[in-house]
Formats: sequence, structure tokens, C-alpha cells
Amino acid sequence: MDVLAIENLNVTFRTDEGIKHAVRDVSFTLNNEKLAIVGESGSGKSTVGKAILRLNPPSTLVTADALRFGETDLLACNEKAIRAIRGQHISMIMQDPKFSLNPVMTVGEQIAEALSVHRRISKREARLAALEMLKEVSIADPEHVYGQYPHEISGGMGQRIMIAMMVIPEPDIIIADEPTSALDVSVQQDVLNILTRLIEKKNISLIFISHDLNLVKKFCDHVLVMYGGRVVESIRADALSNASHPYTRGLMESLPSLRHRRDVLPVMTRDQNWLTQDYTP
Amino acid sequence: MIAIESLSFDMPGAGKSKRILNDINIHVGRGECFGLVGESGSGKTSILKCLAGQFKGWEGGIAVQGKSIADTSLKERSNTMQMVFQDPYGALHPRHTIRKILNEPLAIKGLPDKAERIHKALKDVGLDESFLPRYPHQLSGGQRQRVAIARAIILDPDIILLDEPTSALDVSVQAEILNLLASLHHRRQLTYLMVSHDLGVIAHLCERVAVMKAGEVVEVVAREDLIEGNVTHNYTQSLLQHAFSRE
Repeated sequence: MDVLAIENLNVTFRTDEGIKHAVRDVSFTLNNEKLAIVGESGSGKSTVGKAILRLNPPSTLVTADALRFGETDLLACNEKAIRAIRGQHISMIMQDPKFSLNPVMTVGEQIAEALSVHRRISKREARLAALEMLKEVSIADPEHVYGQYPHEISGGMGQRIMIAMMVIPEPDIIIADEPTSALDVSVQQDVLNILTRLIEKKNISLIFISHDLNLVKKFCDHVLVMYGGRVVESIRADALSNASHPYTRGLMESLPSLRHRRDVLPVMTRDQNWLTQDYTP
Repeated sequence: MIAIESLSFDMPGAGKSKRILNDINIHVGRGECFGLVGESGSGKTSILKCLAGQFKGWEGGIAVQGKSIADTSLKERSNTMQMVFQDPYGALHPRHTIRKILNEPLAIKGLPDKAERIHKALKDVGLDESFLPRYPHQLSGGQRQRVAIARAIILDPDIILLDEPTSALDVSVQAEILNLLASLHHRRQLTYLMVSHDLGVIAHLCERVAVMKAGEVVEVVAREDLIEGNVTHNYTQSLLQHAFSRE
């Protein structure tokens, strides 16, 4: 049984300029793996992530032939049922911890709250679990950090707190939306290592949304490449260098490289057909 | 072209001030493309801000074309130096048309032949006159950055300060803007001082790079040495390692 199965997901937004079709016929299944959704801004990658948890604005129209989490039909869930899934079974890590953490609550309390919302446990137990979790995300002095506010910690530490919050209820799936793009490269690596260790230890499946092909090539098992709301290529991460779709190839080639410096970078010419042609594996 | 000597800067804060630049020495030759690389908070943008006159009260010496910038007025300085910012969404006035945005520096300087200069600057950045009546929100990120670059070159400066000019852009657009910057550098014999956290981007455009950490320059490396890994400082090595491991 797949952890998550999506067939022909379509998402449309109503805007002042009319209807915008942001996601078109996206299908994939997620097993116990690290799945990347890659694309440039506006490709619809975050919208897919949010559609799974019904986090898009209320005016959004989400349709699909199937949107199943295990045996649960997510499309048939009412608000209450979806709320029971969010956090406890499927949770989401956002790009910038500065905007995702509550600024007037200590980070430790926020981690403890993430647990106590879903379990009937005492305050003391929640606190102890949160301290344990802080240790798991490699925070040297959990007792001290527990009492700190978000503005007192660095970006890398903030993202580790976010990971702690999302992992502590032991969900089945974590959707991470550009979790490291706001971080320095050296910190990025630490955060990814911690995330990998925890999801492997706790058997969590990961959907990793990113614009960074080099990063997902190293970090993920499988990659979906999105363009104009469609999946244009679905490929194993280690095969990315041999990608067949011209868009994927164009993305790979347009990156400046230290090893192979070129005087002029190749610039992509976009084909209208990419927007309409169905992807054939 | 740019000579920075023992530049230090203390950021005034509540009660105590914090040293964010410490004894910086950088010399950039005419027509050179010089990079500043480092992680957030290392002080790379602060150097540009001292040059551009956004930070005042620094110690040490900054000379541009042999003249100390402490003795030049901001207006005079803007004839030789212009800046392009990281975020093309924030750098353009949202309620000014592209025509007005490009006209403003010309009007401030009282220069003649405005229409002609605007036309030439737009052409240089690969846009045409159909963009003139539009507003920034009607443009893509890459087009906005082109407008910001057009605004920077319209006064024919010798030096352009580039503060992470491509980090807010998608990789395919980043490639276009890097190509544009390289060709302008060549065609107009500009001198660039560019800040980036991305070694790949820096090594693509710049001949020499200063590696910064905690407000100090730890090492100045030539591009060839960077690519071959001929670096001495531990910190540069670790930055390089991260960059190589991502490719």
C-alpha cells in the first residue's frame, strides 16, 4: 500500500484576473522514500504540497481522481478530519523559520505543544519529550534553548526547531517546502543531515519541495520536475544527469559550475509544447 | 580604481556598538571584476554600503579613482558608482513606470537627450521601448533586474556595486542575468564589485575573490586558484568543499 497516492490532481485559483490553473493533472505515489518536487517559481510545486494538507486559501478549487493517504480519502475528509491528519500524520516544514514560529512563545513550549495537541499527556511529560527532541536535532544545551524565543536563535537553529516540532508527533509523511533555502550552505548540510537521520529512524516518508536541482540530486531518491503546473519528468535522483526532458536538462546546464566554467552560460529556450504535452515516462 | 585601506566599521546599537568590519584592505583595478564571498553576517554587503554612502562613520580610507570618498559628495559619487540590489521586487518603485524609473537619475543630474539615453540603456540590457509605460508588477523578476541594471548604467558610471544580483532569481533567469552582466562588463569596460554567497556565481563572473568571515577578509584568491582548490585558509577550504560537493 502506498503511503500517499495522487491521481490527476488539479488546482485552480480564483484571482482578480480570472481563473488561474496552477496545477494540472499531477499524479504520483509516495512510499517510504524521499521524493523531491523541483521547479522554478510559479511551477506549482508548493501548491501541490499545500493541496495535500488543504492549506491553500479557501477560494482554491482542488480536484483529483484520487488523493489518498493510506486508506483515507483526503478529498472526502471534512475540516475536523483534516485537522486530525495535519501534524499528527502529515506535517509540513516551511521555508523560513522566522515566519513559521510563534514570536511570543518560547521554542521549547512550541515543540511541547506540537506533541500535547495530539496526545493526552501531562505538561511535564510534554516538556521532557521536547527536551529529548531538542537533543535529537543536535542542540547542545536543550534546557537553555527550551526557554529561548525565536528572535534569539539563528536561522539554522530555527529550522532545527521546526524539524523538532514536525517530527515529535511522529507523522507518517513530512512535506518540507524549501526547508534550507534561507540558510547558509554550511548550515544547510547540518540541517539536511539531521532531517535524514530522524526520518530514517522514525520511518517517515518525505516530500521535499525545492528549486535546487543539485541539492535534490544528492539528497533525494526520486525527483518530479514541474513546469507550468505539470510534471514534465519523473526520474530517479541518481539519473538526473541523464535527464531526457529539455527543461530538466536546461535547468541542470544553466547552473554556473566551479569545475567546468563556461564564458557564456546556456540560456533556455522554452517550448510552448511543454505546457500541453503529456509526460511519457 | 577602488582602494580600501584598513576599513573598520562599528554598527551603533543600544548602549554598545558592534564591530562589523575589521581592518579591510581591498584593491580593485580598473576594469576588474572583484567578488566578495561569505556567509550571512560576514560583512560583505556592509563594504558596499560604506562605498555607496549608506553607512557613515567608518574608519580607515576608501578611495575611488584616487580620490577619497570622504571628500566627495553623494551626488558626485553617483556619477562614478551605481548599485544593483538583491531583490528586484523591492528595488523599483511600485507606482513608477519604467520610463519614470529610468528618467529619474537623468532628471536629478539635469542631463540632456533623455529619451535617447533611456533607449540606449534599455537596449543594452536586452529590453525594448514597449516596457516604458509599464509598472514593475507587470514585469517578471528577470525583467525587473534588467530594469535595475539599466538604471545603474544610464549615468555611465565606471563602477557598479552588485549586491547578490541573482540570488532572488530562478536558475534559468540567473544564467541570463549573469550573461548580461558579463557582456556589459566587456562592452562598457565597467569595474564590478560583486557580493554573493554562491561561489559558483562568483567564480563565473569575477577574476579575484575576497573571502570574508566575521567582518574580516581571510583570503583574497584568484579565480584559477579557487577552481583548482589552491587556497590556504581553512575557512575558504570548507566553503569550497561545500560548493564542490553540491555540483
